[in-house]
Amino acid sequence: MDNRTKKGAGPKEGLTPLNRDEILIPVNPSYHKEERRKTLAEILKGHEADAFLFDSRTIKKKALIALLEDLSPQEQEAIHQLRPLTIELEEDLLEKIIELKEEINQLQAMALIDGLTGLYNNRFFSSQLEKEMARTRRTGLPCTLLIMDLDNFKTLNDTLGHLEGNHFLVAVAGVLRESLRTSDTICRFGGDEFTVIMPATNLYEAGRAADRLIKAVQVIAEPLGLGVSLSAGAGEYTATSSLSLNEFVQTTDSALYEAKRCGKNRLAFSGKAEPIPDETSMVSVEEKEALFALKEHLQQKGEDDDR
Amino acid sequence: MTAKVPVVTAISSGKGGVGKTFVAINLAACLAQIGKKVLMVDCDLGLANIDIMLGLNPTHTLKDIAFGNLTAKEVLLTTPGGFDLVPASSGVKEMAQLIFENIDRIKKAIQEISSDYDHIILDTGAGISETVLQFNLFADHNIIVLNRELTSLTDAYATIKVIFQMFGKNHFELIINSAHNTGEAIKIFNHLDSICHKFLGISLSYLGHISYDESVPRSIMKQSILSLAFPQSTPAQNCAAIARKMAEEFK
Repeated sequence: MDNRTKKGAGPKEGLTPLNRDEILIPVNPSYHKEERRKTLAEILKGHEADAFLFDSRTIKKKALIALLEDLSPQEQEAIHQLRPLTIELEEDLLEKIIELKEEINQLQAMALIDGLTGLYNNRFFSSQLEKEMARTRRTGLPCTLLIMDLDNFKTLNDTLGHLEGNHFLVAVAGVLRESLRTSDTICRFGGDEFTVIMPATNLYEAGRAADRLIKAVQVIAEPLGLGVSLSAGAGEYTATSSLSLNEFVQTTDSALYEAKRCGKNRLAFSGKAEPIPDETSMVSVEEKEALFALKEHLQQKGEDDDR
Repeated sequence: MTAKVPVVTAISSGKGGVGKTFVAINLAACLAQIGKKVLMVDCDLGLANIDIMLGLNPTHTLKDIAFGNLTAKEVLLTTPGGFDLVPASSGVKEMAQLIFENIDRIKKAIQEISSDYDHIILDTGAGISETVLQFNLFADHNIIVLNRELTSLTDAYATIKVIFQMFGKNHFELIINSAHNTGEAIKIFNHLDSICHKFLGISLSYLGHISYDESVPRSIMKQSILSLAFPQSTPAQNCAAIARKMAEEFK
């Protein structure tokens, strides 16, 4: 039987299965309403299958999980041809569910992630800084904060337009991501201001990182020739520090102000004028072991001399 | 007369007490002896002592440059070693730690008079402070002085590592001070070179060694320059050899 023949004039009421191309599939021996329903009940008994049925009057789609029984091979074939259609429906549903789920995720993330750059936003920043400060008090390892601001960003916006300004902010975000460790939390504080929370990092190490960032921004800003650069303030929170979260942010922010005051495109520290590197953090255990092996070399040499 | 473009060399050690300033003074004097115009800048801000080692009593110092009061020319001294010196203020606590602004001023002041010289030698402080790092960044050549002590070796390595990682500088010249002999000096050099190669992926250059004998403490006691007071001594000869190498190779 040709199931691809469109049967436009069906009974006014009843269920009419259609295939993928919305062509009527003759699953019933009769088109009489009563018999047809009965047959359908029979059809849908005992077999696990999904039937995709159309009410011929309302053309309303319905998905049924049905059982099929006692069908001629032709009819079974017809039912099998229904399956892709029903699977399609399931996939549609699944897609819709995934879509909704993604939308929910996005909505949640939007509250924490900056829409333009994909960095964290200042809401996330506050909660994360609070966590890191608590971690410092517990572990004794200092955490550091960088607050950074683009110099002469307004000139860029005024000269090249806000779209180019936004492109540049995205590029800066990329530079920050590339130059920092995955353990660092990078946030866009709004406008052209960025912050970085560096766990288990002292002021010296943070200063080195900030220097890298300033140089990296120089590289991408130079071709613009608009005097755009990065200024940074660095602050350290230690286990003995009595600063509140706001005070920590404020003192670091005043270091940024100092950097701007001293001529921009530079780094300034809050607290210590010049952080001293922690020597133990500079030379690893492996390196020390290797260095100390010299002792044996020199002793050997001493023996040579004695001979 | 054409303006000269001087070679700027920073001399660092990481650790104090390895004879860095002694080496710097003698190299400056030896370079002057072979006809080079040399400016030495005492950047050892915490514990400046070149003036003391030379028996000088400066009225103005690097501090005046750092805070914008005087130019480098106004602070300059001529030393018995035949080279010019910008002295630092010894024991002035506030000088030990400079902010970038001050360091910038010093760099600019040096650049202003740089065309008068063939060589500018920066005697940096002990330790790995930002000031030391900044002067190393400023220099064309970075000499690291170490002796045969393990602490000196470790600090020399730490200095190299930080400068390399921070500024990407990958060329360091080593001077082994107070070595017993050439063999020992080369052994120390090879050891540090192999470690730098293994952990940092960079190779070091061996500039030379300076052996130790009685002439060294005697010259220091007399507040005179070894290369002038005992030119025939082995350490003075070693210094002269290194200076010749610098004159030839440092461009």
